[in-house]
Amino acid sequence: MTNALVEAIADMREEDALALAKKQLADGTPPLEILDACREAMAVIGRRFEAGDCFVPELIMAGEMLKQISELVKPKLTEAAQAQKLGRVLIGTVEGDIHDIGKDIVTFMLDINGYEVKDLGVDVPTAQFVEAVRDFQPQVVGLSGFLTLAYDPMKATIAAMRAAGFTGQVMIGGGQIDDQIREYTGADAYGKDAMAAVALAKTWIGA
Amino acid sequence: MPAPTHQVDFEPIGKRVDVPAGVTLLDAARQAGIGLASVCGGEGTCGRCRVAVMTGEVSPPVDADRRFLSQLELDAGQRLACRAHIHSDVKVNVPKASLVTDQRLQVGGLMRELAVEAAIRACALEVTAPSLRDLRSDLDRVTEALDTAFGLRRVAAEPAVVRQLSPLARQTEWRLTTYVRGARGRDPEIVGFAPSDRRAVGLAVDLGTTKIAGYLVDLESGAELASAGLMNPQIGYGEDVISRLVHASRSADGARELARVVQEALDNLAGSLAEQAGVTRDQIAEACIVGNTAMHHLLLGLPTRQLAVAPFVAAASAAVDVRARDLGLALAPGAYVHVPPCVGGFVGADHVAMVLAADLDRADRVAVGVDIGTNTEIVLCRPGANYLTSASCASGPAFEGAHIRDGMRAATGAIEAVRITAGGVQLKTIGDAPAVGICGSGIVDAMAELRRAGLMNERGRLNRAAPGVRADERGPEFVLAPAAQSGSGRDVVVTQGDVNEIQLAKGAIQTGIAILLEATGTAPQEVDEVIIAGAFGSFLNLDSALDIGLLPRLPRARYAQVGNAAGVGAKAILLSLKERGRAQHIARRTGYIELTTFPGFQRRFAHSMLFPAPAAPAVAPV
Repeated sequence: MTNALVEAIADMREEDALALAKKQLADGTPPLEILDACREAMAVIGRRFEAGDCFVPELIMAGEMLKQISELVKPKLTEAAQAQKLGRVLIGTVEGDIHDIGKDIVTFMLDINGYEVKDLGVDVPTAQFVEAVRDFQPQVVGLSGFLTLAYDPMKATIAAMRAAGFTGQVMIGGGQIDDQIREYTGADAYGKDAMAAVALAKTWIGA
Repeated sequence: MPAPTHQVDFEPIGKRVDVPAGVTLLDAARQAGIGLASVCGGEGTCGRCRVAVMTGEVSPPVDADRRFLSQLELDAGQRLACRAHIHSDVKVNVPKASLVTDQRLQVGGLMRELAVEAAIRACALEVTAPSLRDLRSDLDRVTEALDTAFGLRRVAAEPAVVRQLSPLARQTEWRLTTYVRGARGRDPEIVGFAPSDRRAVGLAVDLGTTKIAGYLVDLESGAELASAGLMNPQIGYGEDVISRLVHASRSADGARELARVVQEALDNLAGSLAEQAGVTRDQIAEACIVGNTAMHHLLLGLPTRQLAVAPFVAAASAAVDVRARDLGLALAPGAYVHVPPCVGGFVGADHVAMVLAADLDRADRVAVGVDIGTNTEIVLCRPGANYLTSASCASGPAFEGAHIRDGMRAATGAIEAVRITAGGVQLKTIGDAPAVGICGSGIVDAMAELRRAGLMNERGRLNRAAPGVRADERGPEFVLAPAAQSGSGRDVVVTQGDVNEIQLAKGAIQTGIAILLEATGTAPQEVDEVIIAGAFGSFLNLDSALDIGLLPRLPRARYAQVGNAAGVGAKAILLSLKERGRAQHIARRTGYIELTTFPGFQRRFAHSMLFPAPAAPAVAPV
């Protein structure tokens, strides 16, 4: 009953969604199928948001529910599925900005789409990105920022990572970001939503 | 010769107040601490401050009176209090409908109890004129006279003040009033001169993100002489504090520009208040300006970048006295502006002033104070050692009518109350004029009613299939007043986008209150009193605010709507050095909580944006 899970997530019924996911796992539903349902729920919410049929609360709660469901499901994934990561993505909200709703959803969507994601959190200083790029060796870095004041730290972070020898791709997102801001910050691309982030990762590192 | 005074007797409240001849009944009501409704701030445009003159003489009716009152009502002595100037002792009947709140808690009451002890002392002097046998300088003869007559030693005066002295002394034949600051302290200073018998007046300002309220008060009696409100012209640079801080931090020009526009507005405000009160600008010997931390930084030209980004710290938060002229204010030549201390984050001196005016620092009960504005500050006080805890929410200007399709300020024709019944939509507009838009109290009512009538679900979605709801490419909307009945010739509507804006605003405030309660270990039912401050809060329909979950569901009697408490606090801080000290104490004893990093903030915010199921009628949990 994957559709029931999609509906529960999209309608903000958190207890129902978690109970359903647990029951499905117990009943032997393949973990990947449950993650597929999460993906579908996110797509449904995205469409409803565009149409004005849902708003910020549903988005936030979807993020919260997806986080919990993926924690439930992940330990059940076969080692093969675990190991089959498509690539590494480093993500975080830049220094001075503490918005994380969008970033959390992007993190989750990349995760369930098979990428190994390291999330540095919010208000992340440039030096911490540079260090993580060296240690984690990502192919893609995603920088998030909601405030217009985030553009300068984005630019500085990208420059510092490049100077430290990072040769992968950088995507940015959040708030009012457009191509002009992408150019200003020196990013390779920007994404309007979590789906766009997944699509970018797919073109850059393959699916 | 002091101006003649008249006694005003407000019935049925039974309050009496002595006021200078010529002031308006609204001014008198304010001075008496009576919460007379005045949406327009005494401009004669809202028609809310109706009273009936029973005995005595006031100025004849003007056009504004005739706009809101019928001939029959005028004949019966009804008048707009803001238009009626007092010409004799009068007795006035205040109808219940003209009161903003019941008499249980009046912030104005503070002003009555306040022992005026201003920073400025007006010293009337008769100084010996210079002669060939007495060649002392102009200033020396004044300071020596101050010593002889008032025991004031070593009084300082800077060149700007002396420039005023020499010509004025000769004009007045050396009969002068000297405004001395710090007369009780160690370093007295002359801030200005005036012809004798000109009282010293003070300017108190509540500098809001969206609105500015100014008051002129007599620094000796504490009487309010004039008041006025205007929009903050910085709105042109962004409606919320963050976008203004960003603008200011981009370039030095940006910062100067934002400082300049607000300083000009304050200077104009000082001028029009002086005119309204019949005093000269150079009688304004002291000012006190309160605002949130962002307004404070932009006014003083302090660096703003670090305030706009995490972890949101002020450049300076201590109380400060600056020369009025350095802020572009033409007051007495040496006058100072006292800027009380800020607390932390965006919680500024306006919040300190609100706490002070509402006596929240007395800590004799568990109380929550909410000052609803574009930035909403919330404080929780509990008896105990560190008893004040504050938080700031970015609620946005939706409750002030911004970002709402047909939103408007609370002015004539604004829908202020909404009822939706099986029979249709009933509206109450300000001035009973045809509807032209909807103000903050109206939009809250509309939300509660849409939910109650089943036209909107818990998640704030309008039901496209319901009667009265229509949808176009922008989404669904509900018609409050069709074009044929509106005053604008257009439909007045509530759109899905409007609901979204209200969800964000009320979600932010609701989350803030919930987190403050949790952080201080306070159960909602422990709260003895909730004080709702701010202009919007005064007119808010409490039932609707409780229904949409904006405010916690507590018995109605625990709520008090007190009006512009920050403005009252600013006046108190202006008028009394003791209150100035109390403000310092409040700022020191107030803890600050950053809401967005509190555990579970997002989840709470999401749930706070929902509309609870409509309450069964007449349920009052104890």
